[in-house]
Amino acid sequence: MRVEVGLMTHPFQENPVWPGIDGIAEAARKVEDQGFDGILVPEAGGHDPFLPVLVAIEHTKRITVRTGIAVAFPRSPLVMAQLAWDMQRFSGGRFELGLGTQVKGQNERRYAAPWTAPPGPRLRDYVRCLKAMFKTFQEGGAPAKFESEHYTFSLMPEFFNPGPIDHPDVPIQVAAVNKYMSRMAGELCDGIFPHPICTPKYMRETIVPAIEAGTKKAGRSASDVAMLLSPMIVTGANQQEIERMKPFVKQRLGFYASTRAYHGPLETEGYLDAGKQLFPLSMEGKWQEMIELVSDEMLETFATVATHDDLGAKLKERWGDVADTIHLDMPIELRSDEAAVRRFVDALS
Amino acid sequence: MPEVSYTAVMEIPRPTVWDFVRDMNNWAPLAKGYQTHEILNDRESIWTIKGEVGPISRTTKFHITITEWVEGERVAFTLEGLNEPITGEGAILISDSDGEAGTDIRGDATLTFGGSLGPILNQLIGPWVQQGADELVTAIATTLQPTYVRPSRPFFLVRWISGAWNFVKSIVSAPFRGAEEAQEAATVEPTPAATPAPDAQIQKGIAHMNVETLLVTLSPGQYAGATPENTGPAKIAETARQLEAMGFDGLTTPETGHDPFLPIAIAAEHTTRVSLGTNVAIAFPRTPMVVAQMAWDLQQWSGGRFNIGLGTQVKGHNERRYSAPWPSPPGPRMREYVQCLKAIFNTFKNPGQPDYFSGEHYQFTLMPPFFNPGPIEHPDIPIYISALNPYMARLAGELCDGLRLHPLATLGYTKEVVIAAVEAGAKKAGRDVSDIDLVGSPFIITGKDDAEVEANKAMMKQQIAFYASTRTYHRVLEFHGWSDVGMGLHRLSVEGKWGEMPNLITEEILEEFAVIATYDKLIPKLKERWGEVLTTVFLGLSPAMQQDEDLVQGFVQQLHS
Repeated sequence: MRVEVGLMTHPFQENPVWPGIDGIAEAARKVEDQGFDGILVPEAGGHDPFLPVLVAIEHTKRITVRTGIAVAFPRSPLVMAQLAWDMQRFSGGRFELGLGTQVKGQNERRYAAPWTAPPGPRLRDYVRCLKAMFKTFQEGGAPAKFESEHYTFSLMPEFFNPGPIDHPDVPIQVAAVNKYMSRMAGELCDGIFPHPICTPKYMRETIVPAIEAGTKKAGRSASDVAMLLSPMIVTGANQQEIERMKPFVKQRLGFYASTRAYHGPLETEGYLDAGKQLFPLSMEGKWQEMIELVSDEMLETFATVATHDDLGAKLKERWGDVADTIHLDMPIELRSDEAAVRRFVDALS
Repeated sequence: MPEVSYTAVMEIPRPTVWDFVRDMNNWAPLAKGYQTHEILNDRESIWTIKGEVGPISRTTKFHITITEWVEGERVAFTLEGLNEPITGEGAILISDSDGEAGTDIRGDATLTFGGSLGPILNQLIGPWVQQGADELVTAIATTLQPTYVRPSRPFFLVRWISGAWNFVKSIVSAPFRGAEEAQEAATVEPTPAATPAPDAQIQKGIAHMNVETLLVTLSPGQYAGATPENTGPAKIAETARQLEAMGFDGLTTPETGHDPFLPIAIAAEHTTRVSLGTNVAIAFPRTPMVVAQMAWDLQQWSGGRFNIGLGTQVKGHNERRYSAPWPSPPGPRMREYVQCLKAIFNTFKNPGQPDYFSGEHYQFTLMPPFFNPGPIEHPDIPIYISALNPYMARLAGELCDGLRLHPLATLGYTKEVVIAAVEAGAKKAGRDVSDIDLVGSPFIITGKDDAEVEANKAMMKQQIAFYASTRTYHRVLEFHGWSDVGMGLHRLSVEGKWGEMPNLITEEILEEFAVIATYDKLIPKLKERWGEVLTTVFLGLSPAMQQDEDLVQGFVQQLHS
């Protein structure tokens, strides 16, 4: 199993840290030194995901650097294609593009991006449009025309064509929590990020069969689609530290569970009622009450809870059969414990 | 006079290849830009080819005459442009592969442009001709042998092509982005009556002008084009440090096939003083939050040295290249875009007091705490927009911190139309016109001596003719009473008579549009003309200038003194 790590700590953690440029450079070099296989940069905390990816690329030589994920629709396909193409060139082929849709409300009301249609078919068009653009960048000449319901690409004067690169097959991966997106990943994409709220049971029953339906449709193999997992973890050097971290992960889980688009995994695990109770609280911004609605039992269903020493083994036990790559939002305390990190990477890989 | 050659090594017998090549009807349609061909007799034919060099596209008819026919070995021909002063020759040669059972097929071509533009066009056309030869031979090869794979080009060739290409880009990129000044903006509100600019404005900036240049085209092949070996963060970092050391006040990035924000992140890391801005980022394909997030991070990383430059581009590029919708005229939409950005920044600055915005085109009404990056040290990020028409200029005056003028804006037009509109906008918002940084990028024709200056005039005439033929820019020509020139250029461009267009650009017109002087007199002349109007001047660096650090440093010092 490949092991990757988030470059920044998650904003739901106790001390959310969004380092400056020097901090990102240092963190990236350290991640590479520690033997991780890659870095993942989310679009979280109100920050752009591509800028840290660029800095990480600049300061590393070996590891994969990916967005996980960048929100697609607020950036038109060409904006995304230019970013990905530059990153792939800068990195000598170490960049991978992770895309997601976010939900309607976040698109319309936060990103000021129109939500013109259900996200699945639209993202499918988006990915196909990106591929037409990449082909045009690589081959030059007349654009590889793409026309679909949601996206059109039919103009590329040479003047604006960035030209070919050494590693033109930029891997595209999509975030998924439902069947449509999983099938689409199987049909068109190089990998899938099941949402952190997906449990092993939900994966087995829903995600994996849908991916297989997609690969079958496209005549591909299931192994063409990398499974990239970002499980929620609650960890600490001891039980006391674990207890301290719990509310932060509960807040995150409560937020996810309040989102109706993520209710599939809740239903599978018998927590749909909790999700329905959480939804109105999130609309009212009652974040503290949401934490209280997430029981320890619910937390352990959706997250991996373990001490630093046990975390690697526990993750492997839970996800070893499924994951090609596992990403971790490591809390500061774990990051700063070099020996624990090494044991942890060894246990997983 | 580009002279090019391309050879494909094929795994099929020589007679098969010859059988295909001997009949022109087989392979003529495979040629780059092929439109039609007509066989006149055994030796002669007429070909129509559409070529695209930079933003210019032209259709040329060639008269092809076969001059040599060696059965099984070669066909040589001459070519002559019927509607262009082009001559050339070429050959297709077939031979046994060295030590292999296969066949080599080689295409040679030489093209020479005559006429006043010859020396310039001959420089520019090289990559196109090379690509044409590559593609024709490759197409013949793949038609005959579907498994044929075109090998990568030798590195030196790639270097040469992208060097020449980058030179073209560096010259035309700044003007081209101005096309974002879409026609629709002009139609939204009528031009205000030309009124003289206030004295205060005219006095501005005589002594000292800020000067900026492009971050990403310092050396040929650096960022655009096909030279991965020579690109990347390390090169951008080096360039940024060099330009900062030369004394530039600002470094900016165009959006011509690459993301404009990324190089700024690298420059922020590797410089300490210069301002860094997009010049310009195309707004609508990114929603306000996407730009706001990038800007906020870049502003923090650079310690307050970032500015956002935005432009709209035209409808066709938005819809067909960016795959971005164009639901309504760009002017009012840009106005809301800027308002929405400011609301987002206010919300980042004061997470406890979200400043929501609801417009016709953009909404920002949600900001959960986990998505708010929170306050930064220099939260007032300057917003610039590119402008040529009064609507955008007024918008800059009302809401923005700076205005990036299109190179086609003459001094007279700038003073009487643009600045008047900026002032009207500023007045509406209760601001002072001096709050707005006016950045100009006038056309410059220069060289080490008079001969070089003269030589560069031809290139500039062509470029000005190209822009002046586009109706988007006719407002400037009208201002000077040259509407007939604009219409004449437009007519010629429609008829495809590109070669004749520069003839309509008289010395008088050229003088009005460009600052013309040898290196030693350039900056005094630039300051004399523009110093009273601009606060910042954009100085594009030609390849020759890039080679001479002392020269550029001298320019910067003179602009500052």
